[in-house]
Parts: sequence; structure tokens; C-alpha cells
Amino acid sequence: MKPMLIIKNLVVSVDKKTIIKDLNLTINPGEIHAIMGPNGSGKSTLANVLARNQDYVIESGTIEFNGEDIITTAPEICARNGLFMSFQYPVAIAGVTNIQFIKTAVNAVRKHQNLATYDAIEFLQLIKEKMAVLNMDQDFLYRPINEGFSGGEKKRNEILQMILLEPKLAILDETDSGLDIDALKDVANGVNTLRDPAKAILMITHYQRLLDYITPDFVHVMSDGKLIYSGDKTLPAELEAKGYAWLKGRAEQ
Amino acid sequence: MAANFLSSNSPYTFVWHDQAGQAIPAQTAQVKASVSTAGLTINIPADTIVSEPVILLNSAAQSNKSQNIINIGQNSQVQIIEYLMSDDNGSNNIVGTDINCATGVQLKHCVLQHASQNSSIAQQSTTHIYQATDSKVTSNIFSFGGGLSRIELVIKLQGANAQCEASCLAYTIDSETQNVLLQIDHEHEYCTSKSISRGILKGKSITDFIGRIMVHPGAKKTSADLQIKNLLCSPSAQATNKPELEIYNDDVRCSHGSTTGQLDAQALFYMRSRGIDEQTAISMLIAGFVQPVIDCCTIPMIAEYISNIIAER
Repeated sequence: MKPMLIIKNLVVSVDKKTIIKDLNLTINPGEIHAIMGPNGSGKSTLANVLARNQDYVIESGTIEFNGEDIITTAPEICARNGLFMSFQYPVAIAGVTNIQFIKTAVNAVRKHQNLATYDAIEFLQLIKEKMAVLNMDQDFLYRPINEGFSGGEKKRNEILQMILLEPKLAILDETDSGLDIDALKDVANGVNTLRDPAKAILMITHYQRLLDYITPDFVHVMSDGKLIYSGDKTLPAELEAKGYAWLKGRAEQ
Repeated sequence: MAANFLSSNSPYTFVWHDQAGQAIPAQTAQVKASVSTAGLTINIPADTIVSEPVILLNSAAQSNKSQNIINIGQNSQVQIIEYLMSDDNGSNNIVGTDINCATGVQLKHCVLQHASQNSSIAQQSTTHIYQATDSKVTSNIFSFGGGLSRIELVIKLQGANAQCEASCLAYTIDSETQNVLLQIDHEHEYCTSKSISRGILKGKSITDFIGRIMVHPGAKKTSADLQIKNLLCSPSAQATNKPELEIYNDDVRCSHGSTTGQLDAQALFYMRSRGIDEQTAISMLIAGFVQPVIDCCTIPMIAEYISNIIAER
């Protein structure tokens, strides 16, 4: 089985400041990975680099997604090849309705993958079905993208896009932050619909609580731009009890 | 070029109805699209609903200079489209129009300046709208193309409870230059106005927008808003905004705002990260940016026409 994602010796800078320092990670199809770590450790930078945000400069190292080097690949091409990032802070865009945006995206991706594109009626039916899973009100279809959405609504909207785009690799950047219990459960339900032996998920989070609903196969701890420790699903509980300082100490020994 | 609204629905001919719904077959219905060099006068009787838009077609195929007067009688409802067009070989096009709205008139008006992209001619239009008591006007300027254009729209609120909503959209590319003056004169108490302007600039184009609100002495209880936004899509484009508020009175509520910015890089990345290519994402952002001006346009065939032009530019 070919790995879904291979990151080797990755070094990334933002505004000439090095944020990620020699990071290595391999994700296979079917696996769910979680990256935890204190603020400022480089977690969101990693997510943005993978989604090909050009503000983040790759100084050295390689990223292979599905066997292809994506270091110089445009974000839309990565997306069409099945990579998805759920934004920590989804962007609000005035004047563009949510349904228009999501339909354009889904059809661009499907066209690239040689799948039939949806017409307006088919798409409306499909998106309504998926919104029901996430307990989203249909008003959201015709509102401008994320404009005036609450924190929970924005995150539900991210997961809605993810479900419709059917990515091979979904990266969830702090999707749990700012969610109440109901929203957290809805989001987790949405993510779990994506579980598939051919697909993989990378979750970035501060807290254990999302991991209670989406059980990871591997949990990594990131600190100062590196993955300093990896464990299984029992690691978050240990971290919750002992804090990150405990691991930092271990890593230095 | 987008499908031209002139070719659809035969707006060259239109039917007048009086209050009872009876067609008026009078000479007033003989307004053909082409405006002569002298200009024309249209008198629309009171209590009349004109079902199809009146289109004043000012073509610069030959040098055109005209002055038009439109008098709208009490409580009538009319749609007027002033259309300035020119092809590549056009000459200068200078048009003036005065529209007098009597008490209770409801007018939907727009000025559409759409010159051929290669044309170097100058188009200039000046429209004055005079509003009496209880009249209600929406007026939209749309300006595309042409070497140089200047559009002036002056709305004078002269009777109590006269209301107007005005908007301006200027979309320039290459080395086009456009000047727009939108002036609202509050000359009477208890009038309201709301004005918005959107400018989109590409290439080395230049737009100059003056939004002027004059609150004259005695115009108490005035409510006036003016909002101007420009989107610079190129480093060499140049936008000048001048919101001007002159208030010679107490007891008024006026606001104005003006911003000029670039395409939101965050929004672009967000859309691209979902598989939408950069050009489509930019088009969607531009369409979103102008949506408030399109929403302000109350003549459906024009709103549709404008959306198509924007999608193609």
C-alpha cells in the first residue's frame, strides 16, 4: 500500500521566521492521525503548508501527496487531487452565496477527477441531505459565505464542504475550537462519515474532546516546529493529566 | 459582448396605460429609440403606468449632442433607461436629460454607458432628476468601456418625503478613464437618500468618483447615506474617491464612508483551497463586490444585462 502523505525533513518559514524545523510524518490510507501541542508550536503552519498557502515558504524538505511532490503545486490542484483543509478561521466573503461557492468548488473537483458534474437541482438535493447530517439550517445556502455565521456555524460549514468534496486526505485545523457540545457532536458525525480504508484524516487540536468522538490511530505531539513524541489513542488522556511540559522534558533527555 | 437587452422584448415600442388599464395610443407612444440631435420631450400624463421601460438610445455612430426633457405627471410609474453606446468608429456623444417627477411619481431610472472597448471617443451625459413631494426614485449609473467618459447624475429632492436610492458602478480596464459625479441635493425637509458606489479597476485604468450630498438651508430631518468602495485589481490602476458632504442645517442624519482596497488574499486562498481556479475565484469575488449595486437596480432586464457584462469583463 502506497502512503497517502510523506513529509520529510520539512522546514517552513513565515515572514522569514522559521516555524517548522525538520518535521517528518507519514500517513497511510485508512489512518487517522492527530497532532496536539501547545500554542505557537507550528501546528496550523503545517496545515496551511499542506493546503499550499503561498504565504508559508518551504525552505527545505519534501511533501509527497499520493506519490506526487506538491511543493510547487497550486492550492486548487491539490484540492482537486483530494486534499482538503478545514480552516481554523474560515474566511467570510461578502456577496457570494454559500451554495454558489460550494457548487462551483464541487464541480471543479469532480470535473478534474473525470466525474459527472452536478446540475443545480441535483446539487441542491445533495447538499440538503448533507446539511441534515450536520443539523444545519437551509438558510445557510443562500447567505454569503460565512458572513455573520457563529463559530459553530462556520465549522459546520467547513465540514459540509468536506463531505461534499469527498477528499482523500482531510486536514482539520482546530475544527473543535469554539464549538459547544452539540456542534462538536455534529462535526464529529460529519467527519466520521468520511472514514474509509482509502481515505485518511489529520486532526490538529489543542484538546482531547474531539478525539473522544473521532478516535485516532496515532497521536503526535508537536513542539517548537517538530514532532517530539508519538503514541496511540491513550496519549491524549495522559497529556490532559500531565500537560505538555512533561513531554518537553522527556524529549530533551 | 453580452446579449443586448435592446434585441429582446422589443422595447422600441411600448404601451401606455391609464389608471383603468386602457392603452393610450397617442403620439406620446411614438418615442423611437434613436434620439435626434435636438433632443426630445416626452410628456407622460398623470396616473399612468408605463409597463415597458422607455429607452433613450444615444448612439455615437454619428456625433451626437442632444438635450431631452421628460415630464412625468402625478402618481405615474415609469422606467427610463438612458443608454449611451458607441462602436469602434463612433464620434463624441454628449447628452443632457432633465426628468421632472411630479408628486407621487415612482421612477426607476438608469444611465448605462457602454462604449466599445477600442473606442477612443468621449461620452458625456448629464442627468438632472427633480423630485416633488412623495416621489420615489431609484437611479443607477453603470459605466463600462470607452476611452473617456463622464457621467453626471444630479438628483434634487424638492418636496417633503421625496426618497431616492442612487448607485454607481464603474468597471474600467486597460487605459480607460471614467469620471462620475453623483450629487444629491436635499432642498426640502423630510427627504431621504441612500447612495452607493462601487468601482472595479483593472489594467492602467483611472476612475474619479465624486459623491456629493448637499443639505440646503431649511432641509430639516434629512436622512442621507453615501457609501463608496473601490476594488483595485492591478498595481497600476488609479482610483480617486471624493465623498463630499455639505450641510447647511441642523437636525439632519448624514453618513458617508469611502474605502479602496485590493482583492482579499485570504478569500482567494480559501476559494482556491476548495478547488476553484484563481481566475474563477477572482470573478466570483468581483461579482460579490458589485452585488449591492446590482441589487439596487430595480429594472430586471438591466440587472441581468449588467451581470453578464461583469462576468465577461
